[in-house]
Amino acid sequence: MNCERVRKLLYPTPAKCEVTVEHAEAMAHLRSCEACRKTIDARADWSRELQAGFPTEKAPDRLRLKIGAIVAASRPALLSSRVVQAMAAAAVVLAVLAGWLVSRATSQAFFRAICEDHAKYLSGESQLASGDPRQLESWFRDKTDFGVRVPLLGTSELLGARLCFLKEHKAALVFYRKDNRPVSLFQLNARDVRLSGLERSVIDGAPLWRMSYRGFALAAFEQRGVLNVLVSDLRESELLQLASTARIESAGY
Amino acid sequence: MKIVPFRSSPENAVERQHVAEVLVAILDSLYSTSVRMTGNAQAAEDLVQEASRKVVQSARMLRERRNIRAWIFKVLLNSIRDYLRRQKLWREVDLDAGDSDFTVSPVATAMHDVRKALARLAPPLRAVVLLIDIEEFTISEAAGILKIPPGTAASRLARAHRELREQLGAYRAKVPREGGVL
Repeated sequence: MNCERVRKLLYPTPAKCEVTVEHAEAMAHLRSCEACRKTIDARADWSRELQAGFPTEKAPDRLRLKIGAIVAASRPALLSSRVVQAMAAAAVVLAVLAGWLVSRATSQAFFRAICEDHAKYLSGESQLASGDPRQLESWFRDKTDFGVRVPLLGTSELLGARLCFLKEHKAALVFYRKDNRPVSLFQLNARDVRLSGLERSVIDGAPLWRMSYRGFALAAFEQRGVLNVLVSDLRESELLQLASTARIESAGY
Repeated sequence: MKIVPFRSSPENAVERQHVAEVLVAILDSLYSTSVRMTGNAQAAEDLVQEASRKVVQSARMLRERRNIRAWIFKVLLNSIRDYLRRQKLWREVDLDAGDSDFTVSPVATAMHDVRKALARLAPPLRAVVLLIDIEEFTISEAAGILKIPPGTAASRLARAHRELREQLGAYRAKVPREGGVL
Protein backbone atom coordinates (compact mmCIF):
# COMPACT_ATOMS: atom_id res chain seq x y z
CA MET A 1 0.00 0.00 0.00
CA ASN A 2 1.57 3.31 -1.06
CA CYS A 3 1.54 6.61 0.85
CA GLU A 4 -1.07 8.25 -1.36
CA ARG A 5 -3.51 5.40 -0.77
CA VAL A 6 -2.86 5.41 2.97
CA ARG A 7 -3.42 9.17 3.27
CA LYS A 8 -6.68 8.85 1.35
CA LEU A 9 -7.92 5.91 3.45
CA LEU A 10 -7.11 7.71 6.70
CA TYR A 11 -8.63 11.02 5.65
CA PRO A 12 -8.78 13.33 7.53
CA THR A 13 -7.30 11.48 10.52
CA PRO A 14 -7.34 7.85 11.74
CA ALA A 15 -9.80 8.85 14.48
CA LYS A 16 -12.35 10.37 12.10
CA CYS A 17 -11.87 8.42 8.89
CA GLU A 18 -14.29 5.85 7.58
CA VAL A 19 -13.20 2.41 8.73
CA THR A 20 -12.87 -0.04 5.86
CA VAL A 21 -11.32 -3.48 5.40
CA GLU A 22 -8.07 -1.75 4.44
CA HIS A 23 -7.94 0.25 7.66
CA ALA A 24 -5.65 -2.11 9.55
CA GLU A 25 -3.16 -2.25 6.68
CA ALA A 26 -3.18 1.54 6.36
CA MET A 27 -2.57 1.92 10.10
CA ALA A 28 0.35 -0.50 9.86
CA HIS A 29 1.80 1.61 7.05
CA LEU A 30 1.30 4.77 9.11
CA ARG A 31 3.28 3.33 12.02
CA SER A 32 6.22 2.65 9.76
CA CYS A 33 6.05 5.77 7.53
CA GLU A 34 7.27 9.04 9.02
CA ALA A 35 6.14 11.09 5.98
CA CYS A 36 2.56 9.86 6.32
CA ARG A 37 2.61 10.50 10.07
CA LYS A 38 3.69 14.09 9.43
CA THR A 39 0.87 14.55 6.92
CA ILE A 40 -1.69 13.17 9.36
CA ASP A 41 -0.28 15.33 12.17
CA ALA A 42 -0.52 18.40 9.90
CA ARG A 43 -4.18 17.57 9.20
CA ALA A 44 -4.87 17.30 12.93
CA ASP A 45 -3.12 20.64 13.49
CA TRP A 46 -5.23 22.19 10.75
CA SER A 47 -8.38 20.85 12.33
CA ARG A 48 -7.33 22.28 15.69
CA GLU A 49 -6.61 25.64 14.04
CA LEU A 50 -10.11 25.64 12.60
CA GLN A 51 -11.59 24.74 15.97
CA ALA A 52 -9.65 27.57 17.59
CA GLY A 53 -11.14 29.93 15.03
CA PHE A 54 -14.64 28.78 15.89
CA PRO A 55 -15.13 28.77 19.64
CA THR A 56 -18.59 27.56 20.58
CA GLU A 57 -20.95 30.50 20.71
CA LYS A 58 -23.24 30.75 23.69
CA ALA A 59 -26.89 30.43 22.80
CA PRO A 60 -28.90 33.53 23.71
CA ASP A 61 -30.80 33.32 26.98
CA ARG A 62 -34.11 33.80 25.18
CA LEU A 63 -33.38 30.72 23.04
CA ARG A 64 -32.40 28.80 26.16
CA LEU A 65 -35.73 29.76 27.72
CA LYS A 66 -37.63 28.71 24.60
CA ILE A 67 -35.92 25.31 24.52
CA GLY A 68 -36.58 24.93 28.24
CA ALA A 69 -40.26 25.60 27.54
CA ILE A 70 -40.30 22.99 24.76
CA VAL A 71 -38.74 20.41 27.08
CA ALA A 72 -41.08 21.36 29.92
CA ALA A 73 -44.08 21.16 27.60
CA SER A 74 -43.19 17.55 26.86
CA ARG A 75 -43.31 16.67 30.57
CA PRO A 76 -47.08 17.07 31.04
CA ALA A 77 -47.45 14.58 28.19
CA LEU A 78 -45.31 12.17 30.16
CA LEU A 79 -47.30 12.92 33.27
CA SER A 80 -50.65 12.48 31.53
CA SER A 81 -49.35 9.27 30.00
CA ARG A 82 -48.60 7.99 33.48
CA VAL A 83 -51.94 9.23 34.78
CA VAL A 84 -53.72 7.46 31.91
CA GLN A 85 -51.86 4.25 32.73
CA ALA A 86 -52.74 4.59 36.41
CA MET A 87 -56.37 5.28 35.53
CA ALA A 88 -56.46 2.27 33.23
CA ALA A 89 -55.04 0.09 36.00
CA ALA A 90 -57.56 1.51 38.48
CA ALA A 91 -60.38 0.89 35.99
CA VAL A 92 -59.32 -2.74 35.64
CA VAL A 93 -59.22 -3.13 39.43
CA LEU A 94 -62.63 -1.47 39.79
CA ALA A 95 -64.09 -3.63 37.01
CA VAL A 96 -62.78 -6.79 38.67
CA LEU A 97 -64.07 -5.59 42.05
CA ALA A 98 -67.47 -4.69 40.60
CA GLY A 99 -67.66 -8.06 38.85
CA TRP A 100 -66.82 -9.83 42.07
CA LEU A 101 -69.42 -7.82 44.03
CA VAL A 102 -72.14 -8.53 41.45
CA SER A 103 -71.19 -12.20 41.36
CA ARG A 104 -71.25 -12.33 45.17
CA ALA A 105 -74.61 -10.58 45.38
CA THR A 106 -76.11 -12.88 42.75
CA SER A 107 -74.73 -15.92 44.52
CA GLN A 108 -76.06 -14.80 47.91
CA ALA A 109 -79.50 -14.17 46.43
CA PHE A 110 -79.53 -17.66 44.98
CA PHE A 111 -78.66 -19.33 48.29
CA ARG A 112 -81.18 -17.19 50.16
CA ALA A 113 -83.76 -18.47 47.70
CA ILE A 114 -82.69 -22.01 48.60
CA CYS A 115 -83.25 -21.24 52.29
CA GLU A 116 -86.68 -19.83 51.44
CA ASP A 117 -87.49 -22.94 49.42
CA HIS A 118 -86.50 -25.07 52.38
CA ALA A 119 -89.00 -23.12 54.49
CA LYS A 120 -91.60 -23.37 51.73
CA TYR A 121 -91.36 -27.16 51.54
CA LEU A 122 -91.34 -27.69 55.31
CA SER A 123 -94.98 -28.63 55.17
CA GLY A 124 -94.88 -29.78 51.58
CA GLU A 125 -95.28 -33.37 50.70
CA SER A 126 -92.70 -35.48 48.95
CA GLN A 127 -93.52 -36.47 45.41
CA LEU A 128 -92.02 -39.82 46.32
CA ALA A 129 -92.00 -40.81 49.99
CA SER A 130 -89.32 -43.41 50.54
CA GLY A 131 -86.46 -44.19 52.89
CA ASP A 132 -84.65 -46.13 50.17
CA PRO A 133 -81.88 -44.08 48.52
CA ARG A 134 -81.78 -46.30 45.39
CA GLN A 135 -85.50 -45.97 44.81
CA LEU A 136 -85.29 -42.22 45.08
CA GLU A 137 -82.32 -42.08 42.69
CA SER A 138 -84.23 -44.21 40.18
CA TRP A 139 -87.17 -41.89 40.43
CA PHE A 140 -84.99 -38.88 39.62
CA ARG A 141 -83.46 -40.59 36.59
CA ASP A 142 -84.66 -38.89 33.36
CA LYS A 143 -85.97 -35.98 35.45
CA THR A 144 -82.66 -34.10 35.82
CA ASP A 145 -79.64 -33.45 33.60
CA PHE A 146 -77.28 -34.71 36.28
CA GLY A 147 -77.04 -37.90 38.28
CA VAL A 148 -78.80 -37.62 41.62
CA ARG A 149 -77.05 -39.40 44.48
CA VAL A 150 -79.07 -39.75 47.71
CA PRO A 151 -76.71 -40.24 50.63
CA LEU A 152 -77.59 -41.63 54.05
CA LEU A 153 -76.81 -39.04 56.68
CA GLY A 154 -75.81 -40.99 59.77
CA THR A 155 -78.71 -41.16 62.18
CA SER A 156 -80.88 -38.86 60.05
CA GLU A 157 -84.10 -40.32 58.72
CA LEU A 158 -84.59 -40.26 54.95
CA LEU A 159 -88.17 -39.21 54.22
CA GLY A 160 -88.55 -38.79 50.49
CA ALA A 161 -87.85 -36.44 47.58
CA ARG A 162 -89.31 -34.13 44.98
CA LEU A 163 -88.27 -32.00 42.04
CA CYS A 164 -88.10 -28.25 42.43
CA PHE A 165 -86.97 -25.22 40.51
CA LEU A 166 -84.48 -22.76 41.90
CA LYS A 167 -84.24 -19.57 39.84
CA GLU A 168 -85.15 -21.58 36.74
CA HIS A 169 -82.63 -24.31 37.55
CA LYS A 170 -84.04 -27.79 37.94
CA ALA A 171 -83.00 -29.28 41.29
CA ALA A 172 -83.53 -32.48 43.24
CA LEU A 173 -84.84 -31.93 46.77
CA VAL A 174 -84.38 -34.73 49.32
CA PHE A 175 -86.01 -34.57 52.73
CA TYR A 176 -84.43 -35.82 55.95
CA ARG A 177 -85.22 -35.48 59.58
CA LYS A 178 -82.59 -35.29 62.30
CA ASP A 179 -83.40 -34.89 65.96
CA ASN A 180 -86.94 -34.08 64.91
CA ARG A 181 -85.71 -31.18 62.78
CA PRO A 182 -86.30 -31.08 59.02
CA VAL A 183 -83.21 -31.13 56.82
CA SER A 184 -83.33 -30.44 53.08
CA LEU A 185 -80.71 -31.56 50.59
CA PHE A 186 -80.83 -29.71 47.29
CA GLN A 187 -78.83 -31.11 44.36
CA LEU A 188 -78.34 -29.25 41.11
CA ASN A 189 -75.89 -28.91 38.30
CA ALA A 190 -72.79 -27.18 39.71
CA ARG A 191 -72.12 -25.26 36.49
CA ASP A 192 -75.29 -23.21 37.04
CA VAL A 193 -74.21 -21.78 40.38
CA ARG A 194 -71.36 -19.66 41.78
CA LEU A 195 -70.32 -20.15 45.38
CA SER A 196 -68.83 -16.66 45.81
CA GLY A 197 -71.73 -15.59 48.07
CA LEU A 198 -70.83 -18.19 50.69
CA GLU A 199 -68.08 -18.42 53.27
CA ARG A 200 -65.53 -21.12 52.64
CA SER A 201 -64.45 -23.56 55.34
CA VAL A 202 -62.30 -26.66 55.26
CA ILE A 203 -63.53 -29.68 57.19
CA ASP A 204 -61.63 -32.96 57.18
CA GLY A 205 -59.34 -31.55 54.50
CA ALA A 206 -62.14 -30.77 52.04
CA PRO A 207 -63.81 -27.45 51.30
CA LEU A 208 -67.32 -26.70 52.46
CA TRP A 209 -69.24 -23.48 51.91
CA ARG A 210 -71.68 -22.08 54.46
CA MET A 211 -74.03 -19.22 55.26
CA SER A 212 -76.82 -18.34 57.71
CA TYR A 213 -80.08 -16.73 56.67
CA ARG A 214 -83.23 -16.03 58.69
CA GLY A 215 -82.41 -18.65 61.32
CA PHE A 216 -81.45 -21.29 58.80
CA ALA A 217 -77.99 -22.72 58.38
CA LEU A 218 -76.79 -23.67 54.93
CA ALA A 219 -73.83 -25.88 54.01
CA ALA A 220 -72.74 -26.72 50.49
CA PHE A 221 -70.17 -28.86 48.73
CA GLU A 222 -69.49 -29.84 45.18
CA GLN A 223 -68.93 -33.36 44.02
CA ARG A 224 -68.65 -34.79 40.50
CA GLY A 225 -70.18 -31.67 38.96
CA VAL A 226 -73.18 -31.70 41.29
CA LEU A 227 -73.72 -29.02 43.89
CA ASN A 228 -75.12 -30.38 47.18
CA VAL A 229 -76.76 -27.85 49.48
CA LEU A 230 -77.99 -28.79 52.93
CA VAL A 231 -80.41 -26.45 54.72
CA SER A 232 -81.80 -26.79 58.22
CA ASP A 233 -82.52 -24.94 61.40
CA LEU A 234 -79.99 -27.17 63.13
CA ARG A 235 -76.97 -25.47 64.64
CA GLU A 236 -74.47 -24.61 61.98
CA SER A 237 -71.83 -26.94 63.47
CA GLU A 238 -74.27 -29.84 63.34
CA LEU A 239 -75.21 -29.06 59.78
CA LEU A 240 -71.58 -28.82 58.71
CA GLN A 241 -70.94 -32.22 60.28
CA LEU A 242 -73.95 -33.56 58.41
CA ALA A 243 -72.63 -32.05 55.17
CA SER A 244 -69.25 -33.65 55.77
CA THR A 245 -70.97 -37.01 56.24
CA ALA A 246 -73.00 -36.49 53.09
CA ARG A 247 -69.85 -35.74 51.11
CA ILE A 248 -68.17 -38.90 52.33
CA GLU A 249 -71.29 -40.95 51.60
CA SER A 250 -71.59 -39.48 48.10
CA ALA A 251 -67.93 -40.14 47.43
CA GLY A 252 -68.49 -43.81 48.21
CA TYR A 253 -70.59 -44.30 45.09
CA MET B 1 -30.56 5.84 13.24
CA LYS B 2 -33.26 3.18 13.25
CA ILE B 3 -36.75 4.19 14.19
CA VAL B 4 -39.80 2.10 14.94
CA PRO B 5 -43.50 2.99 15.22
CA PHE B 6 -44.53 4.58 18.49
CA ARG B 7 -45.11 2.26 21.38
CA SER B 8 -46.24 3.86 24.61
CA SER B 9 -44.24 2.52 27.51
CA PRO B 10 -42.29 3.75 30.50
CA GLU B 11 -39.13 3.20 28.41
CA ASN B 12 -40.37 5.86 25.95
CA ALA B 13 -40.80 8.29 28.81
CA VAL B 14 -37.23 7.72 29.98
CA GLU B 15 -36.00 8.06 26.38
CA ARG B 16 -37.66 11.42 25.90
CA GLN B 17 -36.24 12.72 29.16
CA HIS B 18 -32.77 11.52 28.18
CA VAL B 19 -33.01 13.15 24.74
CA ALA B 20 -34.16 16.41 26.35
CA GLU B 21 -31.13 16.34 28.65
CA VAL B 22 -28.75 15.84 25.71
CA LEU B 23 -30.52 18.59 23.76
CA VAL B 24 -30.04 21.13 26.54
CA ALA B 25 -26.42 20.05 27.04
CA ILE B 26 -25.47 20.65 23.38
CA LEU B 27 -27.62 23.73 22.83
CA ASP B 28 -24.60 26.03 22.39
CA SER B 29 -23.10 23.73 19.73
CA LEU B 30 -26.40 23.58 17.89
CA TYR B 31 -26.76 27.34 17.96
CA SER B 32 -23.16 27.87 16.82
CA THR B 33 -23.59 25.48 13.89
CA SER B 34 -26.88 27.09 12.95
CA VAL B 35 -25.38 30.61 13.01
CA ARG B 36 -22.37 29.52 10.91
CA MET B 37 -24.56 27.74 8.41
CA THR B 38 -27.10 30.54 7.97
CA GLY B 39 -25.09 33.65 8.84
CA ASN B 40 -28.28 34.96 10.41
CA ALA B 41 -28.65 34.96 14.19
CA GLN B 42 -32.44 35.23 14.20
CA ALA B 43 -32.86 32.50 11.59
CA ALA B 44 -30.38 30.37 13.54
CA GLU B 45 -32.46 30.74 16.71
CA ASP B 46 -35.65 29.87 14.87
CA LEU B 47 -34.07 26.80 13.28
CA VAL B 48 -32.68 25.52 16.58
CA GLN B 49 -36.08 26.04 18.14
CA GLU B 50 -37.81 24.22 15.29
CA ALA B 51 -35.32 21.35 15.43
CA SER B 52 -35.63 21.11 19.21
CA ARG B 53 -39.37 20.79 18.96
CA LYS B 54 -39.00 18.01 16.36
CA VAL B 55 -36.40 16.26 18.50
CA VAL B 56 -38.57 16.28 21.62
CA GLN B 57 -41.62 15.16 19.66
CA SER B 58 -39.72 12.40 17.84
CA ALA B 59 -37.83 11.13 20.88
CA ARG B 60 -40.47 8.47 21.42
CA MET B 61 -39.57 7.02 17.97
CA LEU B 62 -35.94 6.63 18.91
CA ARG B 63 -34.90 3.01 19.25
CA GLU B 64 -31.21 3.35 19.89
CA ARG B 65 -29.85 5.45 22.70
CA ARG B 66 -26.45 5.52 21.03
CA ASN B 67 -25.28 8.75 19.45
CA ILE B 68 -28.27 10.87 20.28
CA ARG B 69 -26.07 13.92 19.67
CA ALA B 70 -25.59 12.91 16.02
CA TRP B 71 -29.34 12.34 15.66
CA ILE B 72 -30.11 15.82 17.05
CA PHE B 73 -27.58 17.38 14.64
CA LYS B 74 -29.21 15.46 11.81
CA VAL B 75 -32.60 16.97 12.65
CA LEU B 76 -31.03 20.44 12.85
CA LEU B 77 -29.13 20.09 9.55
CA ASN B 78 -32.36 18.98 7.86
CA SER B 79 -34.03 22.18 9.03
CA ILE B 80 -31.05 24.28 8.00
CA ARG B 81 -30.93 22.69 4.53
CA ASP B 82 -34.65 23.31 4.03
CA TYR B 83 -34.18 26.92 5.13
CA LEU B 84 -31.23 27.51 2.82
CA ARG B 85 -33.09 25.91 -0.08
CA ARG B 86 -35.99 28.27 0.50
CA GLN B 87 -33.48 31.11 0.49
CA LYS B 88 -31.96 29.59 -2.70
CA LEU B 89 -28.60 29.38 -0.93
CA TRP B 90 -28.22 25.60 -0.90
CA ARG B 91 -26.91 23.84 -3.97
CA GLU B 92 -25.42 20.38 -4.06
CA VAL B 93 -21.70 20.49 -4.81
CA ASP B 94 -20.26 19.17 -8.06
CA LEU B 95 -17.12 17.51 -6.76
CA ASP B 96 -15.61 17.32 -10.23
CA ALA B 97 -15.96 21.02 -10.81
CA GLY B 98 -13.08 23.42 -10.27
CA ASP B 99 -12.78 25.76 -7.30
CA SER B 100 -14.24 28.69 -9.19
CA ASP B 101 -17.51 26.83 -9.67
CA PHE B 102 -18.62 26.59 -6.06
CA THR B 103 -21.45 28.70 -4.70
CA VAL B 104 -20.29 31.74 -2.80
CA SER B 105 -22.57 32.50 0.08
CA PRO B 106 -23.76 36.09 0.37
CA VAL B 107 -22.99 35.68 4.06
CA ALA B 108 -19.34 36.25 3.22
CA THR B 109 -18.41 39.87 2.92
CA ALA B 110 -14.66 39.71 3.26
CA MET B 111 -11.82 37.31 3.93
CA HIS B 112 -10.45 38.86 7.06
CA ASP B 113 -10.23 35.63 8.95
CA VAL B 114 -11.02 31.99 8.96
CA ARG B 115 -14.68 32.67 9.75
CA LYS B 116 -15.09 34.68 6.59
CA ALA B 117 -13.30 31.99 4.62
CA LEU B 118 -15.67 29.37 5.97
CA ALA B 119 -18.65 31.59 5.19
CA ARG B 120 -17.52 31.70 1.57
CA LEU B 121 -17.77 27.93 1.25
CA ALA B 122 -20.84 26.47 -0.37
CA PRO B 123 -23.22 25.31 2.38
CA PRO B 124 -22.72 21.56 1.68
CA LEU B 125 -18.95 22.04 2.08
CA ARG B 126 -19.35 24.28 5.10
CA ALA B 127 -21.55 21.66 6.74
CA VAL B 128 -18.87 18.94 6.58
CA VAL B 129 -16.23 21.28 7.99
CA LEU B 130 -18.49 22.32 10.84
CA LEU B 131 -19.47 18.77 11.63
CA ILE B 132 -16.08 17.06 11.26
CA ASP B 133 -13.53 19.75 12.13
CA ILE B 134 -15.49 21.83 14.62
CA GLU B 135 -17.96 19.39 16.18
CA GLU B 136 -15.54 16.44 15.82
CA PHE B 137 -17.95 13.99 14.26
CA THR B 138 -16.38 11.17 12.25
CA ILE B 139 -16.76 10.89 8.50
CA SER B 140 -19.40 8.18 8.98
CA GLU B 141 -21.37 10.22 11.52
CA ALA B 142 -21.28 13.33 9.34
CA ALA B 143 -22.38 11.26 6.36
CA GLY B 144 -25.33 9.98 8.41
CA ILE B 145 -26.25 13.49 9.55
CA LEU B 146 -26.12 14.87 6.01
CA LYS B 147 -27.66 11.76 4.47
CA ILE B 148 -24.82 11.28 1.99
CA PRO B 149 -22.39 8.36 1.44
CA PRO B 150 -19.22 8.41 3.61
CA GLY B 151 -17.06 8.69 0.50
CA THR B 152 -18.94 11.81 -0.53
CA ALA B 153 -18.49 13.29 2.93
CA ALA B 154 -14.73 12.66 2.76
CA SER B 155 -14.53 14.17 -0.73
CA ARG B 156 -16.48 17.24 0.34
CA LEU B 157 -14.21 17.68 3.34
CA ALA B 158 -11.11 17.46 1.15
CA ARG B 159 -12.64 19.95 -1.28
CA ALA B 160 -13.57 22.30 1.57
CA HIS B 161 -10.05 22.10 3.01
CA ARG B 162 -8.56 22.86 -0.38
CA GLU B 163 -10.77 25.91 -0.87
CA LEU B 164 -10.09 27.16 2.64
CA ARG B 165 -6.39 26.70 2.07
CA GLU B 166 -6.52 28.82 -1.03
CA GLN B 167 -8.51 31.55 0.67
CA LEU B 168 -6.49 31.73 3.85
CA GLY B 169 -3.14 33.12 2.91
CA ALA B 170 -2.31 33.78 6.53
CA TYR B 171 -2.94 30.16 7.38
CA ARG B 172 -1.40 28.73 4.27
CA ALA B 173 1.78 27.69 6.00
CA LYS B 174 -0.22 25.62 8.47
CA VAL B 175 -2.50 23.99 5.95
CA PRO B 176 -1.21 20.63 4.75
CA ARG B 177 -0.71 20.57 1.01
CA GLU B 178 -1.67 17.23 -0.42
CA GLY B 179 -1.61 17.50 -4.13
CA GLY B 180 -3.64 14.85 -5.85
CA VAL B 181 -5.11 13.31 -2.72
CA LEU B 182 -8.91 13.02 -2.94
